[in-house]
Order: sequence, then structure tokens, then C-alpha cells
Amino acid sequence: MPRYFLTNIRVEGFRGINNEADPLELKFRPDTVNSIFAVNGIGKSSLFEALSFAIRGKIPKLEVLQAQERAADYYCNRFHSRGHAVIDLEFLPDDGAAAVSIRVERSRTGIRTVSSPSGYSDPNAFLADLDADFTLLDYKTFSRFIDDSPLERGRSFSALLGLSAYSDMRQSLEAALDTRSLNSDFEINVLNTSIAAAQQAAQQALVSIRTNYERVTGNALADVDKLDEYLQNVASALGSVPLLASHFKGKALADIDFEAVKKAIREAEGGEKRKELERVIESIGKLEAVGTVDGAAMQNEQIALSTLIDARDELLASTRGDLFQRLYEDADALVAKGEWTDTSTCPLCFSPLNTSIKAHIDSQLNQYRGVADKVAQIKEAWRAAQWVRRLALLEKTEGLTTDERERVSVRLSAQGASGSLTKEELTGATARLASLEAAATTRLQELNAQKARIEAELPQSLVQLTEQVEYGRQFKDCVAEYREKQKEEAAHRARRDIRERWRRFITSAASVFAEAEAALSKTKIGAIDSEYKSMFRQIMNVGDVVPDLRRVNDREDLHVELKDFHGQHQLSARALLSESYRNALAISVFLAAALKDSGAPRFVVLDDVTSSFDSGHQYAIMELIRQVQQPLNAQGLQFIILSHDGLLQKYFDRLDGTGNWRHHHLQGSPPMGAILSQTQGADRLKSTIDTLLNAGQVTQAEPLIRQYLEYKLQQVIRKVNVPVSIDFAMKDHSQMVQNCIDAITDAVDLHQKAGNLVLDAQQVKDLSTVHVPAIVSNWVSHYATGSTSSFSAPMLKSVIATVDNLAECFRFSYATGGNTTRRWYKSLSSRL
Amino acid sequence: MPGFTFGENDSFAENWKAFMSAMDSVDPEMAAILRANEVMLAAIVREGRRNAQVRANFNAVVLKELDRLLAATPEGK
Repeated sequence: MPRYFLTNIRVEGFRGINNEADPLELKFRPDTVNSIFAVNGIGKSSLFEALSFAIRGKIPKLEVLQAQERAADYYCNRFHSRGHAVIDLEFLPDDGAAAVSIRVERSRTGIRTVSSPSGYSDPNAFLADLDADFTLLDYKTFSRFIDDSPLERGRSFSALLGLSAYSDMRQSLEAALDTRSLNSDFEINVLNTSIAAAQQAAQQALVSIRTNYERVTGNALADVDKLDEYLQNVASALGSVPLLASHFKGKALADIDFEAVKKAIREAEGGEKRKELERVIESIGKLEAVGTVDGAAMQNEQIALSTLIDARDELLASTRGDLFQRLYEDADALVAKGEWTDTSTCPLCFSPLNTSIKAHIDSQLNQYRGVADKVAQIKEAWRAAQWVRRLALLEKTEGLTTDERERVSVRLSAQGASGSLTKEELTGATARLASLEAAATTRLQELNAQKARIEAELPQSLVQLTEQVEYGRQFKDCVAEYREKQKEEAAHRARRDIRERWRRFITSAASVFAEAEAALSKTKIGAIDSEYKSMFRQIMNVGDVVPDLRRVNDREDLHVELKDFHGQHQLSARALLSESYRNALAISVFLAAALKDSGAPRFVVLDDVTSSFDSGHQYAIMELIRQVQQPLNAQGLQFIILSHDGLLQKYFDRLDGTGNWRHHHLQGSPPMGAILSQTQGADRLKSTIDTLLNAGQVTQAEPLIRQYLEYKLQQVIRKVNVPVSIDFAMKDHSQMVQNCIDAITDAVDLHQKAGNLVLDAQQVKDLSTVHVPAIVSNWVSHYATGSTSSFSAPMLKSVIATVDNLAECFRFSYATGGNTTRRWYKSLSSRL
Repeated sequence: MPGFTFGENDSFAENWKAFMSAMDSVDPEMAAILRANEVMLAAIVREGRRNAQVRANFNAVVLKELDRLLAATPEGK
């Protein structure tokens, strides 16, 4: 798969770059370090943001703006007549294939479009492939790497090592197994409650099964797993009565028509009393089916629920209502985002606070969280309560209640399920349960008395038979109920079990993935270990004080430690090292990782990454970059450096055109005017100076004249290889022209004395007697001292003409093929 | 599943495939559900940002798959 160099960028109408109908264009060479210098406010950051928008689709600085700041309005240049941004990029593959051009546009309405003038099939995917963590680096990236928590650092580092997909997937798996979420999403608690309810109903049915079996057969039910056998026993017992034999012969109990059997008994004896006895026995059976429960356990449940309600109400009383809750949450968000830094003042009324605003908000929100916690506990206690189910059962039991609308269990179900149950409602419900229990006992006593009275009035022979038949019917129904509830419980249990099986699986998957990811990350760290340490030593010129990256075994945390700090061991590098050391580490780590990467981008753009370094260390970083620039380093990368540092600018100038460095100097008048690259825009610069001077705008022309002079003189120095002193690049702007003239005249003088100067006599004479004195007297002597008020437009025009003529002193007429051209001398001692 | 490792020179897609093969040996039916919904799983966390709604959707889809698997399982197994 080819990797790509960035070879060209053209920007119009984006951020500070207006350049209407005249895009800012910069060409980058894949085989040299490319540097771009601009003083503050000249569009360097806009250029970096254009790359960020093109490759990443966003500008981090605008991403963090508040909604009311309308970030979308600040992508396109606000002075561009169409408000339409165009960013053209050209990428050269390292396999010799044709360049790929990509155009990214943003319309006035904020619509981003990506196309490929060169015909690349999927330009969006192409840009996505170029979006590696090291592609666009700025100072913030480095400082964040060090200042992040170990966990955040670990995650960003994963991305840097090309492991972001692993880090994201590890987090996704962890999110998928989160216990609270899984319990909620999979309704585990609901299933547990359903299982308990089915178990309870089955046990109640079993009580009736045992009672009725004993009444019909006279035997105890010994083994609940032999219900089929017991069903047959009951059928046999009832079928052995001659009056009933024809109804039971050859039939299973489940197939018996008990209404027909009862009718047969009634017909054998006749009378309404028999029918009444059947109804009474049926009612007794229903009441007995309700069974009895553990009253103490239910009372404990009620006490616990009552305690929770008290606790909730007490916490609720200490809060200040929903409006204040929202206020505290908003304030919390404000403080968390760092938008309110004055911790001792209220952001709402600006009154002073005794405690920090954060502590105050936490304290208030904790009270609301306490209420929510209690509400959740009340909901759970209500859902699991045996006494609540008992209340619902009794209220549905025939003979105890009448209208469904009057049932307390129905009325309170919503309050209980939402946790809003009041103390009064709880008291009412428990009282209702107690009265129902008492009513059930009383009703059972009444029915038994009624049964005894009817039995006494009927012939004894068939009374018992009627009872036996009814008990047989109840036995049959209860067996069916028991089996139904058992089936229900099994179904719920199966659903819960398969969900638990998923939980075990996803837990195992997350664990296996995390271990493998940690091992891979450690391997990758190991692979860059020597490289980043070597780079760090080269930048900072230190011996053993080199930080180690340590990945924690079972977490994503990445610690930065000092193994050896002047005899002390395993110390926090973040705590001990100065800002420049920390940033040097970050730069070393990012560059080492970038060199190991084999993805699509083979370029790195660095935006003002040396701000925290002194000039010596800046030089060390630049030297390091020069060494890892391809093709000097066969596996190296292409570097594009943006800087506003004046010292670095001199260094860049010094190296420009030396074969492994290409430098651009931005100038212009953003955000309304155009931005130009000096290298490409010398003619445009000269034209602009002419226009300004013709209009009498001397003050506006001055900085451009200085740039033009510097450009022309440095061009001479580069073209004829004039040697410069070691501190040449480190002197300030006001002396740069003088430095250049000194370097040139010293070199000419040296070669003249050595007798090998290639310039002709007239050129030497013009240089020493006309051009140099003219520039010194008309420009340097005024500009270097700051006394520029004496400049006049005609005089400055003559300075421009003089520097052009000075440059001509280092060129000669070269005739070939009938044509004559002006060429630069190869050096001061060699013509060609 | 001790000892499972990712290949240092393999792509994420290749390593994920190897990981899923390893998970087949833990529980092939559950692994099949995970494999069928891996796109949604990956979307739970994107660029370090967790999306609770995607997580809930993922669990809902898994739940449906589990119910379907349960319905297709012979009783008593």
C-alpha cells in the first residue's frame, strides 16, 4: 500500500485566509524538511486549521465553543465575498504513482464537500486514512499527553500506536458488560421477581393438592414427583363409588366432567340444599387455597419499607426542589468544563462563598442523589415484597372484596413501582392486609359453620360423597395450577439463565480482549522504547534521566516514570520534570511512534511545538527532525514545520535551499487582505511595494521593503554560497539586512585578497562604491536605529532598485544556443 | 481462554477475526451473536466517547437474539 507525502496546499476563504481569487499556495518537497514562518496574526494558525478541517473534518478550537458563540460562523473567512472556503491538497504516493488531489470545500451554509479533481474514487476514505494521531501535531497535543490522567494518556497513546480501534473496542466490551446496565437492559430483577411469584403460587397450589388428596384418599401425599400416580389414585377412589362408577370408568381424572358427576348426585337425592353444600365447599376450597403465610417475615418487609420511606422523606426535606436541582446540575457542568474558575464566588449572584463552589454543588447534588437512591430501594422493596403479592391475592379472593376499583393493591401499584409511596399509603395498605387476613379467617369459620349446618340437614350417606367429589375436583384443578406455575417458573428461569450465560460470555470476551490489547500495547511500547529514549537524549542532552512509559497490566493506564533520578527510583516524571523536558518526551514519543507507523500518511505537520524550549534545544529538535526526514532516513517521514519564532525563522532562512530544507515566509494582511509566501511572492511583494509607495503609503510599505531586502540579500548568500557566522540566524530583525551585507562584503573581500574572486572589476566596484553604501545610508542606518521617520517614497523606491542591482553583481551573461541568459555565479570563486 | 494474543503485524480486522475464533471455543452460540452484532458493539465507544443509547440498542438486539436462541433450543437442553 503506498504512503503519501503532502506536496501542495492552496487555501482561499478559510479562517484568517481571505485571498479572494488569489489562493495562498505553498508547495512542499517530499525530500526536504519544509518550514513555514509567519509573525503573529499572519495566518499560520489558519493554515494548520485548514489542514485539520480538510483531514479531520473539524477545528478543535471551534469544537469547544458554546452553542451561543455559533462556531459554525467562523470556519469561512468573514470578509470573503462568497463566504465559501476552498482547500486544495495534493498528495504524492511514495510508490511513484500519480499524485492525488483532493478538494475540500465549506459553503456559507456550513456544508462540507470533498471531491478529487484527480479522480480518486473515494476522497473521503482517502482523507480518513491520512488521519493518524501524529499527522497534525501542535503544542496542545504534547502538553495534553503529559498532563492527562494515566487512563486518558493510555487511551490517547493507544491511538498514537495505531491501537485506537483496540482501545475503543476494549471500552465497548466493558460497557456491554456493565452490571447495572445489563441488569436493567436484560430485566434480570423483573425475571427474578417473576420466578419468585411463580414459585409462591406453585407452593400455594401444592398446599391445596396435599389437603385435597388426603381428604379423598385418606393418605398423605408423599412424593410431589408422583402426581400422575396420585391423579390416578383420586380417580380410582371416586370411581369405586357405585353411583359415580360410570362417570370415572376408563377415564383419567383430568377428563372427568365434575358437573355431570355432581348432577348425578343431586338427581340421586335431589334438593337445593345439596347444591348449596357444593357451593359452600367450593368457597371453602378457594379460601383454603389462599393458605397461610409467614406473618413475621411480611411484617419485617413492611418495617423495612417504612424505614426507607422515612429516610427518603428526610432527605427530600433537605433538598430544595426540582428547579434548584436543575440549577445545581447546570452549575456543576459549568464548573466541570472549567468555564467558572473563581471557586470562591457564586456564578449566579457573584456573592462570596465560605467554601468552594465545587464543594457546595457536590454537597447539594449529593442530597438529590441520596433521594434517588432511596427511591430506587423503595421500588425494589415494593417489587420483591411478599406481603404486596399477598395483599393482591387476598383482594382477588372471592368473598373478601367486591369491586376491582376499590382494591388497594391496584391503586398503589403505580406509587410502589415508582418509589413515590407515602407513609400513609403504606400504613393503609398494611392495615388493609391485616383486615383481609382477619376477614379470611372469619369467612372460613362462617363457611365451615354453614357447611356443618347443611350437612346436618342432609342425609349423611351422600353428604360425604358430595364433599369427596368436590375435593376431587379441587385436587384436579390444583394439580393443573401447580403444573402451570412450574412451567411458568421454568420459562422465566430459562430466560434468566440464557441472559446470565451471555453475561458470563461477554465478561470472558472483555477480559480476553483486554489482556491481549495490553500485551500488544506493551509490545508496541517496547518497539519504540529505544527510539524515543534516544531522541529524548538527543534533544535534552541528558544521560540517565530519561522517562519510562509503563503500561499497567490490567488497565489502560499509562504511567510516565523516572527509573533513576539522581539515585532515586520509580518517581513521577510529570511531577519532577520541567515543562521543556516533558514536552521533549512527548515529541520524542510521537516522532518515534510516527516512524514506526506504516499507514497512509508519510508526513507530519508540526505547529509551534517548540514554544517551551530555549534556542539551543530548539536547534536540537530541528536537527533531530532533519535526521529523520526522508530520504536522509530511508524509512523517514516528510516534515512540515510551522512557527512564529523569530530565532527559528533565522535558522530556517539559513538552511533554506541547502538541499534538505525548504522554507516559506508568510506575509500579508489577514483577515481582509491576502497572505503570500515570500519565496513565491517576491514579484507580488515588489508590486505591492510599488503600489503603496506610489500612493504615498510609506509606513505600510516599510515592513514589506525590509522583507524584500532580506529576501534578495539571502538569495545572493544562498546562490553563491556566501559563508555566514554561526549566530547569523539568531540575530533580530532590525539587524538582519546589515548582517547579510556584512556577510557578503566580507566574503567578497576575502576572495579578492585570495586572488580568486569571480566577479568582474565593474561588479566589484559597483558593489563596494554604489550599492552597499546606498543601502546602508538609505535604509540600514535609519531602520536599525528605529528612526524611520526620514524615509520618503522616492528614496525607498531607489533602495528597491539598488538591491536588485546589487544582486545583479553576482550574475553574469551566459550565451548558449544563440540565446543569452543571466545566470548566478556558482560561487564567489567559480563561474559555472 | 488464557494465552490469546493479537498479532503485532496484523491489522485490527485480522486480529478481531482471530479473537472471535478464540471466543468460539468459549461459547460458540454466544460468539455467533457477538459476531452478528460486532458493528453495533464497536459503535458503543467511538474515539473514546461512550454512547449510552448505542449500548442500550446493542443489549436490546442481543436480547432478541437470546430469546430467539432459547425458542429454538429443545426443552430440557
